[in-house]
Amino acid sequence: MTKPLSRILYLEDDPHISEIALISLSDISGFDVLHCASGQEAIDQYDAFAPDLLLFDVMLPDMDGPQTLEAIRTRNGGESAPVVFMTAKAQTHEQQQYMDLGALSVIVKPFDAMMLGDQLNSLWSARAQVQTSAA
Amino acid sequence: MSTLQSNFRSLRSRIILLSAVFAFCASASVLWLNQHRSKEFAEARAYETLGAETRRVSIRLEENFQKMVEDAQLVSLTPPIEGIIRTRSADGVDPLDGSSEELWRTRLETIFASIMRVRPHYTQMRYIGLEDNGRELVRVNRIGGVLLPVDEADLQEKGDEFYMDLAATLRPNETSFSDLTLNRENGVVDPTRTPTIRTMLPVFGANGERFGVIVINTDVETLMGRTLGRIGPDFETHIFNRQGDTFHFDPVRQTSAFYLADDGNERIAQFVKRIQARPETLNHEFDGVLSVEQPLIGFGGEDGLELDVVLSAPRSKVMSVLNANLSDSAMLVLCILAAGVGLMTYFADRMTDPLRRMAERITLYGQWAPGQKLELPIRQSGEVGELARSFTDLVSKLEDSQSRTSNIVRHAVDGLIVIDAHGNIETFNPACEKMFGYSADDVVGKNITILMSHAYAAHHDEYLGNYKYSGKTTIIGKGREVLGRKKNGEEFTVEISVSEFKQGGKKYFSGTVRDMTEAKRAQFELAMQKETLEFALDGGELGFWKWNLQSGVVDFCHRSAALVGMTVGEMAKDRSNWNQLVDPLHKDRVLRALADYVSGKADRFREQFRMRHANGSWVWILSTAAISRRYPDGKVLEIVGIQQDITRQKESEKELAKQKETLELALAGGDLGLWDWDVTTNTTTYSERWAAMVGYDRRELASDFSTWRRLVEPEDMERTSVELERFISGEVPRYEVEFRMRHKEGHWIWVQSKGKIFERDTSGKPTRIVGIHLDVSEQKTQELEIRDQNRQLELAEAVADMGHWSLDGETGEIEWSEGIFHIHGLDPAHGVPDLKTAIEMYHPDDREIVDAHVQAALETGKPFDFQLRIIRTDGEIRHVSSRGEGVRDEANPGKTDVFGIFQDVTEKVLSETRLKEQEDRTLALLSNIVDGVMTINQDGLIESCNEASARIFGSAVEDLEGTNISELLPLRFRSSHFDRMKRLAAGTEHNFLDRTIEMTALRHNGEEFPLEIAVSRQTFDGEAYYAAICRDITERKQVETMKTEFVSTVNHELRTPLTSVYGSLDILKHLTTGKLDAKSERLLNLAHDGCGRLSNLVNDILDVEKIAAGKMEYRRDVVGFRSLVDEIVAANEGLADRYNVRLVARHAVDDEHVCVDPGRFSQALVNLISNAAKFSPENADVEIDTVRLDDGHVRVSVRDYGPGIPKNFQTRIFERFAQADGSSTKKNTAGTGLGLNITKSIIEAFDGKVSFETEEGAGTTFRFDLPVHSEESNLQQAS
Repeated sequence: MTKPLSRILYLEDDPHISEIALISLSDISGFDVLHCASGQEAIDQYDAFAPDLLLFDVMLPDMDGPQTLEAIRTRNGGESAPVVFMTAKAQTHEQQQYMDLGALSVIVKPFDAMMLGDQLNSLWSARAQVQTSAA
Repeated sequence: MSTLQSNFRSLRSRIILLSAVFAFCASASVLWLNQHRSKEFAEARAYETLGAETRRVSIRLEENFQKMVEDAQLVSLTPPIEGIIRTRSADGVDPLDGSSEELWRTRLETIFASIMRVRPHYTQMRYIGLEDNGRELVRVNRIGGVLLPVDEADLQEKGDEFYMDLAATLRPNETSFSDLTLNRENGVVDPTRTPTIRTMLPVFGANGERFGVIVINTDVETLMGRTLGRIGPDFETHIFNRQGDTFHFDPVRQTSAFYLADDGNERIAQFVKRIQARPETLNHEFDGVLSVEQPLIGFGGEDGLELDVVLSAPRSKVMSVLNANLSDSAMLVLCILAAGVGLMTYFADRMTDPLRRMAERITLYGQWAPGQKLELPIRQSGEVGELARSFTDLVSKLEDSQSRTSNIVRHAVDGLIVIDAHGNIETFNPACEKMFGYSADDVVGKNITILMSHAYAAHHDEYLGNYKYSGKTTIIGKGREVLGRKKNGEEFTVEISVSEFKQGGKKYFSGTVRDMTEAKRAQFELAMQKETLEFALDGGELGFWKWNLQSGVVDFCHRSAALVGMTVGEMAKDRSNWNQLVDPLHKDRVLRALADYVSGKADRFREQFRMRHANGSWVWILSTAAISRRYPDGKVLEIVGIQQDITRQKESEKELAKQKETLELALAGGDLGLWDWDVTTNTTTYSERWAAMVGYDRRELASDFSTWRRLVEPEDMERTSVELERFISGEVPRYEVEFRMRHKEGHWIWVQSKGKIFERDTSGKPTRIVGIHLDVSEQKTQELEIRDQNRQLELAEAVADMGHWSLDGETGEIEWSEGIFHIHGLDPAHGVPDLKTAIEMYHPDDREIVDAHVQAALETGKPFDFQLRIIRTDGEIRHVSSRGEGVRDEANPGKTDVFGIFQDVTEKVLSETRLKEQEDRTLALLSNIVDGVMTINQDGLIESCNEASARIFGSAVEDLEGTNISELLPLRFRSSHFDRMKRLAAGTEHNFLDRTIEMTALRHNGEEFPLEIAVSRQTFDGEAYYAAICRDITERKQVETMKTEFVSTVNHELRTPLTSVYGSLDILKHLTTGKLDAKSERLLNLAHDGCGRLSNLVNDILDVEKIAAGKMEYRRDVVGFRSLVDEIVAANEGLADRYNVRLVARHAVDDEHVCVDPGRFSQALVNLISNAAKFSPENADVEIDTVRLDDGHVRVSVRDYGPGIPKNFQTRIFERFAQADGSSTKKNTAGTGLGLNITKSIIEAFDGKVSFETEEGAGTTFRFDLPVHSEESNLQQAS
């Protein structure tokens, strides 16, 4: 039995969306969420926060979500950091691109704020299951 | 007796006997072999059994000896032993506990006694000290079964006993047994003569000095008796020592006895000696006794005890098993033998049964019951069947021969009678029945005499009797006439010939009987005929003569004589008269002819000659003759002849011949052949010239009709014959025909034959026809040639839509061939129209040119060749090619005729016109078209291209043509291009032709650009080439990219604010549940729902755009249809809850698979389900059904019980943004209006079909039909 999902590193540049997501994840679902507004911030905070899961927006100025992920992945301890992307790019081939980066899932905006936490929880337990059976 | 013998010799008995003998021999040899082996085996077993028993006895003995040793050791360890030593050395008082020697001895006695109590074969136990010459220290005796310790005073000195010497040599703890001796007390053999063995164990003092010895005396007899009594061996047992003292056990009486070697039993001593004599073996056999020896060595050292155990048994006893075995085997063999014989009897019966049954049937058949058929098992295979077949064959042959014979007998014309030696009738055939009036049944078995006249019958038995005894024959082998008697008593002459034959040892006579009544009558009739002949000859004034060649006598009848004016009397009875009277000119010829006839050289004699009449005139005689009698050797004996006066006839003939000669001379001048046909006699004479015309001499031709028939060409025969018939019957007045005749040299000549009736009979029928032949071959040949040419020309013209015409330069007369009529559309039967009419049929514009050409030809002979148009009477215009020239008439140099040919070329002209038009159009199209069009040959060279192609590739048409198409591709694509060309040539490329393909192409200036190309393969004149249509899609690509980016951007930009609004409302709605007033809550809900719709709309717009641009991407997974539908339904239960309906899924499919993008399919089906849910009334069912269709599709249908689709909306339902007016219900059903449009596009992308059925007020059913995925379609997909 793996430990339940609790620490989430959330990368989102849009202040409105991030606010809503924080309410949803922290207040409603009770996760320990660290919000970063840029990729660099996320990279800097990663070690200190030691998140269970990365929840990354894709489109960001300077360094986008996939690039940030790439940077984290190349660090010690970040090789297998589980990630979920959130994007407004709803086209299939775009989504597939992110899945190919090893994302657990791609959540399309607009997302259901009430269901976001549940969604992440079920992704978390599905991954745990896969890992257990793989082990 | 014979039956018995035959039974014994029968096949069946032989089979049984043979197999019984064979079985017996086999069993006996097996038995013998078995017994032989068993004997060896039994012997080995006997030794084994004896050996085992011997070992058992030995082990038991050893055990007992071992116990003695143990007892001795046990005693040696008891305290009194050491106590006594201690006491001795301490002068009577034990320094340890102060016990006296007396006390220790008492204790030891007690120990000895208690041991002896359990060992009944111990007779003494002693503790002997070495001091005082081996004085006993403690001793317990068994006397008469009572254990008695011996008082100190009675103890003996044993230092002289042999065993004491032995004991003195023993090392500590070494035990020894003394040899077996009789017990001695005080140096004397004990009167009880107890065979004793002593067990000795030395006792040493505390310092290791030898102190004494413990001795146990054992009564061997008791020991052995007990041991063996307990073991109870089944065999006689001897146990003896080296000296031959023997213990013997008798297994029968179960008793044992001990014998010393010197006073013992002689038999036993002998036995032991014989055993001891053969130390090299343990198995012994002598006197019919088998023994096994087992030595027990090593008890007492070299001088010590050594025992041999020998168990014996008589051979007969151990071998008894073998005998039992023999008798068992013999019994078994007997049983097998008996069973075998029984079985063989059964099989022999079965095997010979068909033969026996066949024999029965044959016997039965031999008794000749009528109508019986011989039925044998001919279908059976094997020898029986073969025998049956060959026998049946033989019988059927016999029957055939018999039935042939009986048929001969039955159908013989002559009567056939068979009688036996007693004259009884056996056979009487139908001819006889007819002859005698008896039926066969009447007479068979009766005596032959009933068929004889009474007079003859009286003697018949006598004849027979005579013959039987004397062998003298009367009629046998001869034929004779006798008088027979019919049933009605009538007697009649029969000719009978009798022969004799033997059958089955009996003698029979067969008689062939012929009714002679008829023959008699014939003789009578002959006489009658003679008279009639005479009468006839008289009437015909025919002279008759008869010449006997042997005697030379010639008889003339009175009429013969009268022919030459003489009487019979005046005629000599030989040929002298004739010789005198016949014209000497004819005589030789006639005589030669007669001689030829008589000798057979000529087959008839018929001669005409002149004879001198008595009145001096010549008479012409026709004489014919026939041979009337011959000798048996064939030589002619007699000739008869008839003579007739033909003088008058002869004269008229002469007259005719004269006339003919004259005529022929006349005709010869005109090269005419003459024929003269006498219809009545059917003789035809032909003249010299007639014959010469067909290459013959007249004399070679027979003077009758056959000559003509033979020579006329068969093809012409019928026509000619018909003509002749018509002439003869008077139907036509003239006979004039032309026909072919075969010349002698083989070729045909044409003959013109004319005929005229010369004579008629009284009824007017022609009796003589005379005619002439004229050779017309030359004219005829020319005529035919012309006709042939004309016909060929006509044929050729008809085929070529041609005709020829001619114009007579002088008369202006026009001649048309049939073809010309056809071209003009006129009927040849109506004749050639006049010049004016003809000219009027030409197209007004062409008349002048026609006129000019014809005039020129007439004047100068100038050839012409031009086209003109003919307007047919029905208005149809025909294009005609006209060629011709003027030809000068050779016979009339001033005159020129015009000959011309018309050819109808309308079709050609029309098709040429059409082709031209089409080509012009195509060219115009090609040069004006925006797309590039190229034709490329098999080698990849561009054969032709249009302006647009040149423009696209930035080149000129002239440069492009002849270029290899590969040069229009970037270098990196060229090798794959060449591969594709190879596949195309081999016909293995399937994904290129006849479809639009995008590729990267190369412009002349080196720029790469996207090109859309569609290539198809064409065949022209048997050569394949490729036609390519290409289009520069650079701009389109740019626009597409821009569009994709635009849609993506717009989407993203729309979604970002939407996300915050929607998310905020979501959370707000959740957090404020129950905290707001109803109105505010309603507003919040409205905002939230609006956001949802906006979100859906954004998604749908994206899809619709992609679909419209053909950019929708679909995966193609093979998935189970049923499970897919189930999953989708299950995942959307939420929809049902939201709209308060129930989803009911029902399946009528099994495991059909479909090839779809599960996500997209789900989107489509969810659209339907969500529509159905939205439009359903509360608590209604939404039914989702799957079913497999017959046409290889599966269907899922979604049915709701909603309001249905309004009629005016049904046609637009799949259009974008289509929503029925006022379709909102109590639920908020507002959708984007794109759902069904997307749904339809998705389903069609998977080769599926969407349909619906609706009834206003009752509900709607939407259906998807998808093709079932199969392995084949999978393969196709793969290729």
